[in-house]
Amino acid sequence: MKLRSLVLATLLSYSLSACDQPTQAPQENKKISAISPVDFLLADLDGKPRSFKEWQGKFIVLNFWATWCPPCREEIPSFIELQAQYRDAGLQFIGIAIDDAVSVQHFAQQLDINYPLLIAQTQGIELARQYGNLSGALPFSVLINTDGEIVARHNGILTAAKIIEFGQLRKD
Amino acid sequence: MHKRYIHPLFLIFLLLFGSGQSLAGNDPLSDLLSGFNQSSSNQLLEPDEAFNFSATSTNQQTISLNWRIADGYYLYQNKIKVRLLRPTHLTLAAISYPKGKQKHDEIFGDTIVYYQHLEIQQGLSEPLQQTTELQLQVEFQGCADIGVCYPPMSKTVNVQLAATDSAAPTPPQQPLSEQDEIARSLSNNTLLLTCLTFLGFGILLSFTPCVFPMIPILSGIIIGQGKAITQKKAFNLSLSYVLASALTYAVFGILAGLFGENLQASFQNPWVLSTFSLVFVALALSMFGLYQLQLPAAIQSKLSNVSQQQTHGSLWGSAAMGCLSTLIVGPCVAAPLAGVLIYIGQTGDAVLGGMALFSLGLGMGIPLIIIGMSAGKLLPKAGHWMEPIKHFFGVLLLAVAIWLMERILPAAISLLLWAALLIVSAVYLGAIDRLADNATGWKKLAKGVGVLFITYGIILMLGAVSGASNPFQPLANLTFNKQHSTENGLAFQRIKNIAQLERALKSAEKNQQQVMLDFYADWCISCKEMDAYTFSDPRVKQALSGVLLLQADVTQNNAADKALLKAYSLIGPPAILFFQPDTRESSQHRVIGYMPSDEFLAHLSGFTQ
Repeated sequence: MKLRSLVLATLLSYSLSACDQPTQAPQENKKISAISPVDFLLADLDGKPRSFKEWQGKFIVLNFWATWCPPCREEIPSFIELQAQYRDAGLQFIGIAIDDAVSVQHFAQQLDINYPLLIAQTQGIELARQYGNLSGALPFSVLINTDGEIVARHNGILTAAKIIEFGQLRKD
Repeated sequence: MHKRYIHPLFLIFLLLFGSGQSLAGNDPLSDLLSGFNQSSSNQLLEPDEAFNFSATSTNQQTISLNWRIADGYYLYQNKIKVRLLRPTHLTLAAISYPKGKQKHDEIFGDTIVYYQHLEIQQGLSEPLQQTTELQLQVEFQGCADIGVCYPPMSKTVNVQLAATDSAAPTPPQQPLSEQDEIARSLSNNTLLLTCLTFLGFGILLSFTPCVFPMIPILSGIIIGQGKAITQKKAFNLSLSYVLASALTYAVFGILAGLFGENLQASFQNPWVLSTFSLVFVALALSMFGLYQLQLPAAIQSKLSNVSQQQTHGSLWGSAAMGCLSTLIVGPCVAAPLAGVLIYIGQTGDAVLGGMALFSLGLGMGIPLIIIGMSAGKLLPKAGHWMEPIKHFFGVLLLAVAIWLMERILPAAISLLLWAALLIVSAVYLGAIDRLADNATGWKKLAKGVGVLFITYGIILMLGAVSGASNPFQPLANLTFNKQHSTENGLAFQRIKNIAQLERALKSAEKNQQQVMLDFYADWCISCKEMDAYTFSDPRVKQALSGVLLLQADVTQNNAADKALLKAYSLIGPPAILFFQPDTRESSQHRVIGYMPSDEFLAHLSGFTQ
């Protein structure tokens, strides 16, 4: 890892000195997780394609989950509650399901989920990887502030307190 | 669609915030801002580390499926699925699972999970009649106690199962990675080329003084036959001498291939690479005459004595001598030989190694056969003209040293090294010396080649400072239509669904055309990297010129997209599939993820041949 960052550092100095087109070793880039959100276009439960841009400007919790993942199912009720409480404060949950539409539909109806659920199937694994989830484990949540910067990422159950703290959310 | 590049500023960002960590999969920003539960976000294992899977055949006609499960991780019993992919006429017996741990889940109810270690004996429903290679697909899924789960994993393993009970267990077979299979098919396709190259090297090596001790030995055998010797007999004797010598080299090659297999993995290690690179530099210096490499004199004379007693002129005697003289001569050609052996060790392929070194030995022997037939009349005179050949090998060895270091050095530094090698060689070739008025044709040729080297060396240096990374395109960054050249990818024919794909494949079949199908999505960074770096490479375009190029844009992920992905059991983009003209997918050539253009070209050559 040390060596790789050395190589990167040298590469960097060259790419800066020469031109701002990063033609250097793109295979290195592949391993780097994004700092700014990656745009995506995924179908929601109605089959309508939804883009990340739609929610820009809100405090976004991007939650990668699946119905076959017990801890993912466990944290969702608290998300529903938070979404209802802080919708006006600009909090927006987006669920990205690494799952098929039928299972998600069934689960969403049971819990009456009040935020958009997008169906990514197994492609969601690649999207999550681009957001920095290199282990591929779920649940994986990315917190994006109103300026569109990723402020935190988390593997495992995300508590309501952390979301409120990071979003500096206030109930009116 | 807009292109998304990773901006250098972003790299600065990473460096400032500890790129080492971020490359390891953690997020330095969130660590800094933290407040988050570090233990859960920092130390998550990759799926293969968390659930290390292997399959072994046992002597009870069963396959043992093994999982080494990391501490705190567990596998679900009901998510384990084993399917027999090949051969299709056999069926698997039901699995009896070992006792696991009960886990209660509010949603899934009571399930059985396994911690630490799981071993399952998978049998066949009827006994095997003959030894068979089975291909199994094993699916499993697990979670960790800290409250994360991993997506279902699927591994394909090949296991040899013996028909008799006495068969010894075979060593564990790691799942064949795509890369392994690619490497294998590549080395098959290039086998002939490799052998020809080594034959050429052998002929060149025979012009070094090293082969000289062999000439009197061989001439001795032939002359020892007396005057009655026919040209045919002389040829036979020389041939058996040379074949035996080549076989001895082949043994070295096989050993290198076998031994090298273990080395292969460590060849990505910077220390190993640096060490070998230094060894090559040392060997090169010996080629430049800084010192001599040879067997201790005592051993040399002993071998020589034994060989002298073999002079009875029979084919076998001649062969024995060929073998012995190889041992004598071997150390003299040690430098280039070591280079070749390390190269072969790296491929880890004993067959390739054996054949390549056999070709090398044959190459070294061809002049000997000619000399043998002329019974010494054509003996070349030793002299100064042999030095350049040694020097040529020296330069070649230095090139190998740079080639090894290229993997760990920044592109610009390796470009500079190439430039240095070219320019310094050019100086030795006399590129900057004035030609004497009575210069020979050879001198002029050397100067000409030297000037070429110097010119290219300077271009490489320009490339290095302009941030180029490809030694074959050093000025890529200085061309005026840069924007154009990097963004001008391949012209794909878009397909939207399976029907369109089938139509396209049919038309390719009519035209006897091979097909490449690229799965693409706007959100897929690797796809864009492929577009920007690999598909824009003129060499790639050239290599794909005869291939029908199809692209499926699955950004929308609608029903048709999903069906397409599912038809080829793909997770999603990035994925590139290749089809033979008979519409059959060449599944061993699948490319998943980003591949730099050089690698992609090598991959393509395996497919298009």
